[in-house]
Amino acid sequence: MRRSEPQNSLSIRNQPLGQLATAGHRIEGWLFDIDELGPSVTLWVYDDDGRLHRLTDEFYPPVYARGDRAKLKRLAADLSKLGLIAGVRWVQKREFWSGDEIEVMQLNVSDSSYSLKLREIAAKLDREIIFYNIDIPTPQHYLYLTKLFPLCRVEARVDERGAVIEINAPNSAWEIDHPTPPLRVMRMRGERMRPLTGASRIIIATESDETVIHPAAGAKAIDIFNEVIERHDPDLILSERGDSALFPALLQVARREKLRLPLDRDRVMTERKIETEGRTYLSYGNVIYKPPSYPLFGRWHIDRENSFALHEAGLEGLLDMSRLSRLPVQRASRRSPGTSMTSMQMDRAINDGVLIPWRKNEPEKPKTALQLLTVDKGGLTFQPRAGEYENVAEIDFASMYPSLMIARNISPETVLCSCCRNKAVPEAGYNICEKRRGLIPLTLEPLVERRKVYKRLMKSADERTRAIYDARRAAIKWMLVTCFGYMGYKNARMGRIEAHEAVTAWGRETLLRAKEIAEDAGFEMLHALTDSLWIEKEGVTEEELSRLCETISRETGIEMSLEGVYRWLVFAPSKVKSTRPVAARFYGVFADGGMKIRGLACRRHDTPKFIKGAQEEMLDVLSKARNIEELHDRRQDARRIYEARVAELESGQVDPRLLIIEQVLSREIEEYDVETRAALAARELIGDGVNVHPGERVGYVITNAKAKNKAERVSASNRNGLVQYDRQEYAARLKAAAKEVGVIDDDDPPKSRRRPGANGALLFPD
Amino acid sequence: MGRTVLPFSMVLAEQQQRLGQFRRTLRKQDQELFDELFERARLHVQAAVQAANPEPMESIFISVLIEMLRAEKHLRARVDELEKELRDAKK
Repeated sequence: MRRSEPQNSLSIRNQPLGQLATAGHRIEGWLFDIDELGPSVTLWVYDDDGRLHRLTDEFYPPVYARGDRAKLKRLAADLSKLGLIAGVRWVQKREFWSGDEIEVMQLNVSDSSYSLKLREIAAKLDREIIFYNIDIPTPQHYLYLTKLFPLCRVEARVDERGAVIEINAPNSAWEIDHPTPPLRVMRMRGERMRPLTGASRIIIATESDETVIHPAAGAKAIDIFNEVIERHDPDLILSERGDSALFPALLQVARREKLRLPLDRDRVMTERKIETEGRTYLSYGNVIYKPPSYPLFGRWHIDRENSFALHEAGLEGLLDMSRLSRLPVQRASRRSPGTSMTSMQMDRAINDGVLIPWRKNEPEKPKTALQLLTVDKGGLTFQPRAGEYENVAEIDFASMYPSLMIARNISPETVLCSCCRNKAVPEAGYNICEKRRGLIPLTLEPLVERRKVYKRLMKSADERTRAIYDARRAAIKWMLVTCFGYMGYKNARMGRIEAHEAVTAWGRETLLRAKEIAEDAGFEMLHALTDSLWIEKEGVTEEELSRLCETISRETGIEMSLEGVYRWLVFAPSKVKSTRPVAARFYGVFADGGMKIRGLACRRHDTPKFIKGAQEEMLDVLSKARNIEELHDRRQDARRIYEARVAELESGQVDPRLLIIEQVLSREIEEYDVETRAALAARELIGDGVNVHPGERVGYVITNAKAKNKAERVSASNRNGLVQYDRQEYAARLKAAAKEVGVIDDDDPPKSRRRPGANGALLFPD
Repeated sequence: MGRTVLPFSMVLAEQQQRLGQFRRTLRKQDQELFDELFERARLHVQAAVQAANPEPMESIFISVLIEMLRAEKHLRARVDELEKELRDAKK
């Protein structure tokens, strides 16, 4: 990278400004974080003595344009005049969809803060000129091109002001073992933050002490907070609801008191790109609320409640994801694992000289209704016959969809390619390229491999290491899962619905093939779900099953493995009707005593803790049963737990906090036609001055389910134990949870909302 | 991501609804049998989906027939068993 005008460098912590500065000195250490800063990026590097350095490196992100030469030349001249670009040249690159080598004009953006302006200009021209690589966030773009990555080892030569002369990462992001750098962590959580009152508290904990501040105290609170930050100088602020509640509250108070809130380590004033407005969006038919976000400069802020990756894979998993994807840690923490996956694809494409399309320009090919009926089916979802079973084994395909994409070369640019004539995809009959390896398989292959390595190493690792490997494995799993979904997303620039359909078609074919092989081996198929089979055979042995798995793996080309043999397994019936099958509601105990539960009340988000706990207690008793006969006996024991919990509920002594039901608001409060409980709860919160958004979860206790005055039906804000809950309503819910696990019978059929007799005798015996 | 094709459980409900007047005119006890038929088809929803047949009733009929045949076989076996027990008892 070319450099001129160096930025100032500051070395922080016990190190007065500029003391380190010697001409062209070397720094060895590790990369803590990276931010964009106009014509440069800021690199935060910890040296091996534990000192933090703020380095800058000039970076002019290259974007590409394709079109009529004369028009491109005019464009370059115009952009230069506007000062938006710092360099122009002609280069050969490969086009993503066709794989053809093409000539494009490379434009180096003179300042990353101009990219929005550039995109506006590009959008107006996109009928004549096609733009590539134009909307890649600057920090990750820099990392792709320099091969640095978050937390990498760094060897750098910098000038006296901290401007990088030379920098490189001697190690690989793919190393299986990498030490987690020492991080100073500060934890923050709030109590009764919404609405902000005298009772609101923020608790700040470090390894050595704990500080409580009352935001309502105004200037004093801010002073204490700033003092704590300065004294501990944390690398990582790990908060609970920092994005949605804590930082907004602190910033609001600081602004009111006209005080500074120096959360960042960067003393250079920059325009902060904080998304202070939350937004609501739809995903898979669910309304999701994304709170505002408060990333920091030179310091990480990760909000536990606003980080799917942290929640699913812990800090170890998140950091590994950040390394592999080259997404800065705070970005990786707030975005879905799909963003990490996309970043890996862009990284791969850029380093292979492939241009990244900006906007989607491959429309879905028209289909007939029959074609649509054939291909738009998703994964296989059988309906198991409700009942109790023994001698059942569960066998699963490992990472089925990613493995299929790798094995069958499924990628947006390989499905329906223009060069190969075949009908590779089952049912759909789409052709798949045989000449070019797809971007998706190329990206996935090392990930799937890495996951396998961790799985293998986990077996012999000590407990601590095993936990780390497990976290990294979980992170990879989620990246793999989202990869498939994103391919079918209509706005994904490298997406193609036909590739998505090809994966599910192969998935169905593969599972059906597995079913046939199992049936040929004398098993009966009880249930099948996308990539798993539940098969039954009298006196089945593990040896027999591992042979079966080998055969299936060999014949399908996808690894099949034994999840376990069940001592017993119950497929629970539908709650609407006791004979109706449900695809994913079951519980059972494996030979090693481990229990597997799907779809029961204790696994659903809107089940209050008390009922969740009671059902888990009952399941725990049931889990001791070694066979179906014992299961029936155990149910008698579990019934006593049920009765004790009902008595507790009916006494009115249960802590209402354990009875909070959490539900996601699906729309704006004005849009509710029917006063659902969630809507009533939201209305109460709004009355208290709390902002609630669709997609956010509201919690409430049912106080009087049938009250005439609707406002009395639920209580949303008073969570401190003064609420009188509706005993009947909760007892009924507990009963349903007990019934779900067979602890109580259908003795008194529920008052049918449907036709009388709907629960009557069976027409057909089983 | 919206699915363009209806889930088959909804197709089933649709077909049931389409026959609403038929059902309504049945005697009450026959209405229950009518409902039971559709319940039985549910066990084979996945096969019906996989068939991708534009005329779903065909898949529904066959699903129901499979279940009836199963019931018949079950009853036949049961009758044989009871007959044998009866014969043994007489001996």
